[in-house]
This record gives sequence, structure tokens and C-alpha cells, in this order.
Amino acid sequence: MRRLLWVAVAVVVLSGCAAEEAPRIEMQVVVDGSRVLPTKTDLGYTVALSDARMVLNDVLFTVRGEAHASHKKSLKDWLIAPVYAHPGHYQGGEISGEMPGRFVVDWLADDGAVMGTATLLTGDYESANFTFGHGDAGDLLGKTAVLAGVATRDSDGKTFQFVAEIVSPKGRDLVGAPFDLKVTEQTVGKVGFRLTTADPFEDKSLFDGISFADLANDGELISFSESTDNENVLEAYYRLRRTFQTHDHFELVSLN
Amino acid sequence: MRDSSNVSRRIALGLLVGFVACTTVACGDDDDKDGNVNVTAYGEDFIEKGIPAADVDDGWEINFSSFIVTFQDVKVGDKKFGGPKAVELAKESDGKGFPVARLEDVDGGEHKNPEYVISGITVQGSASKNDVKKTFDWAFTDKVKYSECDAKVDVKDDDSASLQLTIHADHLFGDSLVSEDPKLLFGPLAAADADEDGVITITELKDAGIGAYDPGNKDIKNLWDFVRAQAENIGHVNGEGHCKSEKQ
Repeated sequence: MRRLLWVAVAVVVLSGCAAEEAPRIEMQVVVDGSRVLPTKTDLGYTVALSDARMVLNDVLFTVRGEAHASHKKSLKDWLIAPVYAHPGHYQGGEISGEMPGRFVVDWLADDGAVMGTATLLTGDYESANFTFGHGDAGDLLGKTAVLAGVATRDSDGKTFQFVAEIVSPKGRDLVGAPFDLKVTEQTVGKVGFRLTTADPFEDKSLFDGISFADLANDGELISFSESTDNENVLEAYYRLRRTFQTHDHFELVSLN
Repeated sequence: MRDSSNVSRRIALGLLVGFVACTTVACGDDDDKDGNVNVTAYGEDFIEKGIPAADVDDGWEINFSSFIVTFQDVKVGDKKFGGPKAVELAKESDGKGFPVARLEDVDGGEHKNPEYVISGITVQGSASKNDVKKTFDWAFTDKVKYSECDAKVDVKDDDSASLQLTIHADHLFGDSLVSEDPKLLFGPLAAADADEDGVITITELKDAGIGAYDPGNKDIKNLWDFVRAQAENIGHVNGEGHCKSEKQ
């Protein structure tokens, strides 16, 4: 009889119907401004940022492949969306970690500051997602990001100051920012949240495709915003916003 | 005092019963008799009657004179219709849609995750706003597989089982590939008519930038590629049932 009991227990456990909790750890996530660097663009400009801030909500962390059944059970209250192809439907990996909340990040003034604490189930992580937010005060009011700096044309040294006020659509998610970390119960350290002005995997700049000289005269300030009445500046704004909203220019890394 | 072997037996039987229930509910009932599945395609009112201006965020009214979708590899359970079969959806069907295939001798019981492939779409129509009218005649040749569709097909021996391949034409006109709630716009497509002859050609769309449209992580730089990407998401099942879509 006892053998039958153990067989039954083993069958149930191995079947995946078991309800064991997956091990989890907590890691601090900090602002990492180390990749806000002068970047060369495809049109021959060197762009250096003096201001780089953004608002974001609810960071989610995803593991490679299918999460273990116990992860799903433990995360039943989290956003585990199926892989449906439909505008707006999540198409990344399995969500296995989270850092809920609203975060205002200043990569240059607050480098190293703690954003929050992520809860991560053990697993082999590959990416992170978050939702672009909107500021509620100061010059970020109603805006997702403010990027300011100087673009210098390499061929003749002409310089163009610029301020970009980026407004993302409400609820716009970013899916697939690289987050390459194997998390075990022994994992320690912090996670750095980076803006990468140069795509770390491809030869691309955040400011590719923007011809600053076609938008202003030498030394003038260019204001990239959705409210501009200059069609060329507006087109450049949309280009910058599109690039900013891709996973090419964000990265989360383990900092030991 | 209770007999410990009795308690153990009850626990063991309970666990086994639970396990059996856990597995068989997901797998269906082998005792059901085989049956047939009638597969139809339906473009809903948006394709059959047009998209009213009130449903388009910038006020254009969109009508289709032809909306032909070519289906193939429609699969329910272990039965498949190879096809291909081209179906004209821009005709009135009184909500019934149009036949695509009849899958015969499908195993009885409940089948989840049907799948199918769209191997071509040709769309002809016009859009109007105020006194301006633009026509279009576009062909999408990308082959897209729709799998893991969110539908259950309950096969019985009375020929009543059905699966509707639902086409959402409005997805062609969204302003975002990633938003849960994209705006429906036609203005940017109308503005792509560079020679202003009233016909929006594929060449003109290829020459037009995407402006405020949001392609997400995709490297899309012109309107034609944007609309093509939208066309990869028009397939659904049984109305609003979503599928995983994958370009082949």
C-alpha cells in the first residue's frame, strides 16, 4: 500500500500538476548611465547628450523558452500573456520576474541610484519589457523622455544644439530589451538599467537618419517635439521617437 | 483509531483520480465518434459592407470591391485541408461567411488550437472623405501561418462542428504594430498618392515615409512595408479568437 502511495505522489509531481513554489530572489535595479556616450551617426554627426531622462512603468523580465509549470502557477497573478500575434499582443518570452511601479530615470544626474527591487524566479533570463510612461511634473510633465545635447557634423565642425521631448502613446510597451542573466538562488548583485545611445549589437546610433544641418543653422537650437509646426523637424522627431521606442537602445545588465 | 493503511489507500486513490482527471480533461474523450468540420471564411461587416467613417479615427470611409484571401493547410486535430483555396469575402453573406473546406472523419471530441495558412491577399477598394476619393488595388504575397488559434472545435457525429476563419480588414489601417488599441487611419495612405491621380499605388506607398506610425521593434521605413506588416495580423478564428502568426 505504501508503495502505491509513493507511486501516486511521484506521478502527480512529475505530471506538472504539483504546486511547488519556484525559488525566487530579489535584486536591486539601479540607473546605469555608463552607455550614454557620444555616438557617431550614419549621416556623419557625433551626438553627445547632456540630459537623458525618461519615465517608465512596470518592468517585466522574461526567460528563454517555456517557463516551468511551477513558474506559471506562482505567477498566475502576473501578466503571462499567450503568444498571440495581434497588434499589441505580447510576443516575447515567458515572464518570470517583475519590478512593478513607476520610475523616473535620469541617466546622467542619478547614475547608480536605486530604481527599485525586482523579484525574479530562478531561470535563464534573456530580455526585459516595460511600459513607456509620462511625467507628472516639471519639464517631463506629459512627456516620456527628454533628451538634450549637441550634434557636431564631423566634416565641417558645425554644431547644433537640440532638445527632444518624446511622448510615447499611452500604454506603449517596449518588448525585448536584452537582459542576459542566469538567476539562481545564489545570484547576488544589482541590475543596471541602461540607455544605450549606440546599439551594442549593431552599428546603429539612436540619432541615425537625422540630418541636423537640414533642420537649423550652425549653432541654432532644434526643438524636436510633436507640437512643432516645422514639417521637417516633425518628421525627424517621429524618426527619433521610433528609434527610441525600440529594444535596440535599452539594456539591463548584471552589475557585480 | 483509524486504520493507517486505509488512509494511505484513500490518499493514493485520490491522487490518482486527480491525476487522471488532470490529464484526460486536457486530452478529450476517446469515446466520441468521428465527425466532420465545416470551415468557413468571413470578413464581417467591415469587408462585406465597408468600414464606416465613424469607425475610422480620421474620418475616412473605406469600402472594398474585392477582398480575396487564399487559404491553405487548414488543420483541426489530425485532419488537414491542403488547399490552396481563394475566397472572395467582399460579398454579402448574411453573416454566414463562405465555405473554405470540409474536414471529414475528424476524431470525435474537443480539439484545441486549430491552425491555417494565408498565402495571399488581394484587396481592391476605395476610401472617401469629403469630396476626395482614393482607390487602391494591392496584393500581399507573404505567406503567413496562423497557429495555436484560440478556439475549441467540438467534433460530434452529427456534422455540426465548424470553424470560422475570420478576417479583420481594419487591421490594415492601424497606426501601430504594437499598440493594444491602435488608431485607424487612412489619411497617411491617402497622402501617399504623390501624383494625385486618385490611385494609391504600391510604388507610391514604398516611396512614402511612415511618419507617426509605430512599427515597434521592426525596421520598417516605408508605408508599403508597414501595411504589409499589418496584413500579417488580419487572421483570426471564430470572430475575435486570436492566433500566433508567423511569416513563412
